[in-house]
Amino acid sequence: MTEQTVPDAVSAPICFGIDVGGTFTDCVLTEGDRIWRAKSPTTPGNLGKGVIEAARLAAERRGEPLEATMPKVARFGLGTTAITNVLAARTGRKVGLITTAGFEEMLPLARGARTIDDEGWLMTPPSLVDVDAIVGVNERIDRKGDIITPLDPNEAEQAIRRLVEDQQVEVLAVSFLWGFLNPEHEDMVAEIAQRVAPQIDVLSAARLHPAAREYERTSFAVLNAYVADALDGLDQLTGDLEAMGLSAPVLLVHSNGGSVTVAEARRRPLGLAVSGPAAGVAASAAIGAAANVNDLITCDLGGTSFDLSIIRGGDPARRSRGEVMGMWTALSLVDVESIGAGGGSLGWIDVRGVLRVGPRSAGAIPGPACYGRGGMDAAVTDALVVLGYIDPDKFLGGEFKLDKQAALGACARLGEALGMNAETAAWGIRQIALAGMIKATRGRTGALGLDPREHTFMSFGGSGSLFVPDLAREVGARRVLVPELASVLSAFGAATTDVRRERIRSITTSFPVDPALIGKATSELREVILEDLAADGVRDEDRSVHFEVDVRFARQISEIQLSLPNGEFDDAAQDLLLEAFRDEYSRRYGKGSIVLGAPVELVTLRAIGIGRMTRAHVSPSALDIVEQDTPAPVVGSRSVRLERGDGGRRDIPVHDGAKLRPGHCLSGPALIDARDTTIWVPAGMKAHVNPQGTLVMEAGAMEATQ
Amino acid sequence: MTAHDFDPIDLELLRSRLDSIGDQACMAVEHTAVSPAVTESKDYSVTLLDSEGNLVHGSGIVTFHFGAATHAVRSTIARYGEAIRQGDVFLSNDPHNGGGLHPQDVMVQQPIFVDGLIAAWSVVSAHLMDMGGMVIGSFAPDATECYQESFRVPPVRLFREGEEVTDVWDLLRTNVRMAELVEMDLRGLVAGAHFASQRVSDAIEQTGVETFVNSLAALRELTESEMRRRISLIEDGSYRSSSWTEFHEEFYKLPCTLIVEDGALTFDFTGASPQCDHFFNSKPYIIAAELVVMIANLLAPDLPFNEGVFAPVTLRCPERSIVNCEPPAPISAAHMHVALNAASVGMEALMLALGASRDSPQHEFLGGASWESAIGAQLWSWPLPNGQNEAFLALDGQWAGGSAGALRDGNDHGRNTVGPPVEASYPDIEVLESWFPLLFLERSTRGSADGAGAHRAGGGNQFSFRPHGVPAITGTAFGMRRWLPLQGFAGGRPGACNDFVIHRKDGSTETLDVSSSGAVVNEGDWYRISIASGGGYGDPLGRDPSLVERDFRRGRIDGEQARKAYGVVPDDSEATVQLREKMRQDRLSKAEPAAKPVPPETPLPDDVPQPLYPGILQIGSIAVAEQSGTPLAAAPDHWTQGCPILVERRWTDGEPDVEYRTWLDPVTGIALHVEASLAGEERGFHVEPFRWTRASAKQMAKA
Repeated sequence: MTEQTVPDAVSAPICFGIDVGGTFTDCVLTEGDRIWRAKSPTTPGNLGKGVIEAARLAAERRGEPLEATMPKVARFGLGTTAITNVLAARTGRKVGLITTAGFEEMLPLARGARTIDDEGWLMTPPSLVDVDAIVGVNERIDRKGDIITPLDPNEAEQAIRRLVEDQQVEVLAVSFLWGFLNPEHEDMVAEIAQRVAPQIDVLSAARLHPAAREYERTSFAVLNAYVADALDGLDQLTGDLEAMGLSAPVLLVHSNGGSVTVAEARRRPLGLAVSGPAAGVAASAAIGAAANVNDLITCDLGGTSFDLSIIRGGDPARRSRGEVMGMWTALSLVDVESIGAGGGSLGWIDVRGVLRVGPRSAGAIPGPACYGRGGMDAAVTDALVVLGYIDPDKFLGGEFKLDKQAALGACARLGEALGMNAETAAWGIRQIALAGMIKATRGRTGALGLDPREHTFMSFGGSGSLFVPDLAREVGARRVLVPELASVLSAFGAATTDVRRERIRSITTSFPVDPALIGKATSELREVILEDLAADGVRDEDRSVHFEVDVRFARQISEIQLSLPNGEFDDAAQDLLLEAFRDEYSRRYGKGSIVLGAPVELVTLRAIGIGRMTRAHVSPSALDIVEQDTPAPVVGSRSVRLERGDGGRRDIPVHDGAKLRPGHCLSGPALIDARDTTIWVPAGMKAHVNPQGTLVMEAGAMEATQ
Repeated sequence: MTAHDFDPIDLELLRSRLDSIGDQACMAVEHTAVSPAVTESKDYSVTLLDSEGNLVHGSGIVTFHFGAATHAVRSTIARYGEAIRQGDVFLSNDPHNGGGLHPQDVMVQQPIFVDGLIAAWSVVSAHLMDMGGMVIGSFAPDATECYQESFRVPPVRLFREGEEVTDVWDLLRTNVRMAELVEMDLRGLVAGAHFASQRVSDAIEQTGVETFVNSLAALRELTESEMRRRISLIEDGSYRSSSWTEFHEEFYKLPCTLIVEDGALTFDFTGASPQCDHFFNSKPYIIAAELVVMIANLLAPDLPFNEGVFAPVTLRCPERSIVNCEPPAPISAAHMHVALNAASVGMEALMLALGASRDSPQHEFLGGASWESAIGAQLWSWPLPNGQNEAFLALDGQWAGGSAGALRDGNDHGRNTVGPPVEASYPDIEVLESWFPLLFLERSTRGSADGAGAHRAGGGNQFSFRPHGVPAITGTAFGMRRWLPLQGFAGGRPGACNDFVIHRKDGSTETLDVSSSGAVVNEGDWYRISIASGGGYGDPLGRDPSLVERDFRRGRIDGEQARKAYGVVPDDSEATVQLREKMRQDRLSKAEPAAKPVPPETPLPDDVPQPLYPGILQIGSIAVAEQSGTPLAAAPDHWTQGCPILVERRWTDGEPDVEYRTWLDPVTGIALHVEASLAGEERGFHVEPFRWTRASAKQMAKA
C-alpha cells in the first residue's frame, strides 16, 4: 500500500463503515453530513458476501452503483465477529505448543482458575491446547536474558516432529520463559520448524508480545495460532474491493478501539476478538464528543447481556490484558463489563420461591415468548411488552410484530407460580433486571474510583433506553444520551476510528530511572512504530506517537497505566510521573493507601502510534431542523404499568421517533417509538434533540437514592 | 411456608441491594485501608447481620470470616447488652473472647440503629499487618501461651456514641508494630463499617423497619428450610471419620462423629486431644465458620449464604481440647491446622452419610476429603545488602491435589470436585523471578501412585527452585501432613503426603519436616516441594486400564507404579487381567481374617437393597458386598466385621507407625475401604444409618 493512492481527505469524503455480525451485516455510508444505512444477512463462512451486498445497497441508496462509488471511497472500515465466532464455537486450528521443560502445565493449569462446567463440576477451564500437544524442551534463560541452559537443536527438532507427526497439529506456538528478553531460542525453534515442517506456521510468543508474564504471552501466541485462518475470507474481500477500484486501505476495528490494517490483523488476528463492542464504544466516544460530553458510561442492552463501558476525557477505558475463552491473555482491549441481563434474560423462580432474573436466557432461539418462536418462559422483553413500555406492533419500527398474548401468557404462568398476576410478575422482572444493572454500574465505577454522578450515560441496544434513564437516576447521574445512530453504532464506529498501533518493551526498573535507558527505548520504539504506520499506508503528516508506562509499587501485582506524552524522561518528567502515579493510586484505592516509603517500579513501556485517517464524522443532522425548544408532536398514548398495585398504570404520551427533529423537546413521562428502539423518558426528565440528532435527556434536581 | 410472609419480588430486590451495599463497602475499605494484604490480596470481608448477630449477607473473598463475624457480634451483645448506643463502634480480636479467625483478623462492629433500637449490624474484618506479640506479624509458631502471641482485645469500643475512645486507640498504638500503618488500616475498616451502616439505614428508611426486619427473617428462614429439606434427604444415622493433626512427630487426635437426624447435622468432636502448647489450638466457632462454608459449597451453592445455612448445623467440642481451648492455650493459627483438619474430617463424615443416602441429589458428588488440611506453606528468606531480610512466601505450597470423586478423577493443584468458581491466582514465574533472587526449575503436577483409585486423586503442585544471585536462602515450613495423608473413599487409596526435599550439590538429599525452620539451600543446591493430595475413589484395580496407560504415557506414573498400584501392564490387556486377579488373591492371602464373618450361605432378606457405603448394600438386616453378593455382616454389626483386613505399614522403621488398613471383599479381594491410621488405634470410621442399627430389632421382631 502506498500513500499517494489514498484519496485526499476532501471536504465531503465518502466513508464506508461495516460491521459483520453473526446474523446481519450492517453498513453505513457517509458523505459529509449525509448518511445512508443498509443491512444484509451475514453468510457464515463467506465474510465478503454480506459486506459487498450491504455496501451495494447503501451505495444505491446514495444514488450510484457500488462500482462507481468504490473508486471515490476515502475510508473503508470493517468490524467483524469472524474471530469472535471461531472462539465461541471453538472451531479453531489444532495448536501444538513448545515451551520450557518443567513448565508444560502452565497453560492447562490456567493460573489456578476454576470454573463450573455444565454438570456442576468444578474444573480448570478447558485447555485450548491438548496436554499431549504441549512439549517441554530443556532450555533456560534468566531474568537478565542470559542463557543458563542452551537449547539443543536436536531436542527441538524431535519436539517439532512429535507434535507435527504424532499429534498432527496444524499450527505451532513456541514460548519460553524470558524469551521476550532474548528470543534466540524461540527463533531457533522457528527456523528448525521451517526446515522440518515447512507447511506449518510457527508463532513465537516473544515476537508477538515481547513483555513479561509468561502465561499471558503464551496464551496470546496460542490463541493467535488457534484463530489464524478465521480471516481467510478477508483477502478475497479486499481483492474484490480493489477490483472495484477501492484505493483506500481496508481497516479493521481492533479490540482496543483503534483500527488495524489487514496485514496486521493477519499477523495478530486475536486483536479482532471483541471488534464489534470496541467499535460501538469508539462510536460512542465520537458521538459524545460531538455533543461536548467526554465522560461517559455507555450501556448496551443486547439479547443476553448488559454491557457497560466507561469513557473518560473522550478516551475509552482500556485494559492491557483480557479474558478470552477462560484464559487471561495479553490482548489490549476496550474495557467492557458484561452481566447476564439482556432482553432475552428469563424470569424464573428459585427453590426458595423467590423471583430471579437471568443469567438464564431464552437466546435467539426460541427467544422471548413474544417472538412467537415457541418460547414459553417470560423474558425481560416479554415483561416490557406486558407492562406497556413496548408496543408489540411497533417493535423495531414495526418490521417484526410481537405476540402480546404470548408475552402475557408467559408472565401469567410465572405470576401464577408466585401467587401474583401477570403484570406484577412483569413489573418484578423489570425491577430485578434494573437492580442488577445498578449493581454492575456502581461496581464498575467504584472499582475505578469514579463517581457515577459525574458521568453522562449513553444508551444503545434494543431495549437499553427503557432501563438506562431509570438506572442513571438511581445512581444520581443527570444526563442520558440516546444516539440516533444506535442501531448501526458498530458500523459507524468502524468508519470513525484512527489506526492504532501498539508496541511494548519490558523494562522493570525502580525509580529514579536512568533517563538514557528510557530515551533509548523510546527512540527505538518510535522508529519501529512509525514504520508500522507507514506500512499501514498512513501519510507522514498523519502519523503521531505517544507513550504509556505501566507503573506499580515494588512487588505489587497490578500496575497503573500512565501517559508519558512525548516520551521524555528527564528528572522533571519523572517527578510528574510519580505524582500522577500517586494521584491515580489514591483515586482507586483511597488517599490513605499510599504505602509510605515503598519504592515505585516502572514495568513496561508502551508506544502507541496513531495514524489519523479520513473518517466519518458525527455531523449536524441532515434532517430538517425545527426551532429550538419546539414541543415534539405527540402521536398517541400508551398505558404503562409504572408501579405495582392499584393505580400503577398510567397513560403515557407517545412520540414518533421518525418525526423528531433537531430542536424538538419534550418532558417525561413520555415514550418515544423510534425505528430500532423504544425510549423511556421518566417523569422529572426533560429531553431535546441536539443538532446531531442525538436525544439528550436531562434530570431536574435529584438525589442518588442508594 | 415460613413463619414470615414475604413478597417474592421485594425480597429479591432487598437481597440484591444488600449485595450491592456489601460490594460498595468492600470498595470503601479498599479505598481507605493501606496494606497490600487488604488492598491487593483482599484479605478482608464485610458482613451484614441482624439485630441479634445472625448472618444476613457476607461480601468479600474471605468467606470464612462471615461465621466468625456472627460470633463477634453475639459476644459484644452478651458483654454490653442494653448499654450499646447509636454511634458506638466495637473492636475485638481475641479468639478466646469475641475475636475473629485468628488474632490478626480484627473485627470492627457497628450497630445500626433505627428509632432508638438496633435493627442490624455491620462488621468489617481484615488481616492487619501486626497485632503485637513475640514476632512481627503476630503469627508465632514457637509461642506456648496466648499471652506471648499478640495484644489481646476483647470487645471494646473504638467509638462511643460517635466520639473516639482515645484511650483504646492509645493502647493499641502502644502494643503493635508499624502502629501508623495498622491504625490506617483500622480506620479503613471503620470507614467501611460506617459506609455499610449508612447504606443499610437508607434501605431501612425506604422499606420501613418492620418490613426490613421481617424480610431479613424471611431470607434466613427460606434458606434454612431449604437447607433442612436437603439435609432431610440425607440418611439419618451416625457417621464417623478420624484424623490427626501433626506437629513434628506428635499426633493430635481429631475424630468426628456426625449425627444426621431431623434435618439437622451434629458434628461431635468428642475424643479430640486435650489442648496443647502449639499455636494451632482452635475454637468451635472458628471450625464452624470454615466447616459450614464447605457444607454450603456442597449442599447449597445456589442459596444465599446466611444464618439459615448455619442453623441446622451444631458442633460439639469437648472443653479444654484442641477444638475448644481456653487460655492460656496459644491460638494464633486457630484457623489453620486443627480448624481446617476438623472441617475436613467433618466433611469426610458428611460424605459417608451421603454415601448411605439414596435420595440426596448430592450423592453423585461423593468424594474424598477436602484438600485444605493438606497444604504445605513455606517462607524462604535471604539477607539484603542493607542488612534487612527479604522473604518469599511460597503460595505454591497451597496447591494440594484434590480428592477423587465417584464419577471423576480429582482436580490437580487444589480444589474439590465441586465448589464455587475460583479466580486465577498463581503469580507468573517471571513475576517471581523479577522479585526474588531465585531460579525456578518446575511448576508441575506431582506424579504419584498415592491417591490411586478407580478414580484417582489430583496431583499436588511440584515446585522447585534454587538461589540465583544470592549465596544461600533460609527456609521455614509450616505445612501439614508429612506422615498421615488424607483418606481415600470407597476403596480408593489415601493421598500423598507433603514432601520437602533439598537436593545438595554433591547429589545427596535432605528431607525437611513440614514444621521446620532454619533450613539452608546454598548456591548449587536445589529445593523441591511436592505437595500432598487427597485420596482416590474406588479400588484402583478397577480403574479403566486405558486411563492408567494414559497417565503412564504422560509420565504421571512409571511402569512399576502402573503394575503395583493399578495392576496394569501397559499395552497388554491380557497380562493386566491376570495381574489384577493375582493381586486380589494375594491381598486375601496376606490379610488378617475377618473379625466376625457371616456364613456365605446366610439367606438374604427380600427387602429392597439400600446403599450403605459405595460398594456395600444393606438388604434388610444384612450388609452385602455389592459386586460379589457376599454377605458381610448382620445388623447391628458394622459391615467391616465380615471383611478380611490387609494391613500395610506406610513408612520405614524409626518413622511414625502409620498403617493403611484395607477392608476386603472376602471372596473377590476387592478393596472396599482403606483407612490411614496410627498403629494401635481402633477403626476410625463407621457408617451407621439408623435404618441399619435398627434393622436388627426389626429382624428380631419379624422372627
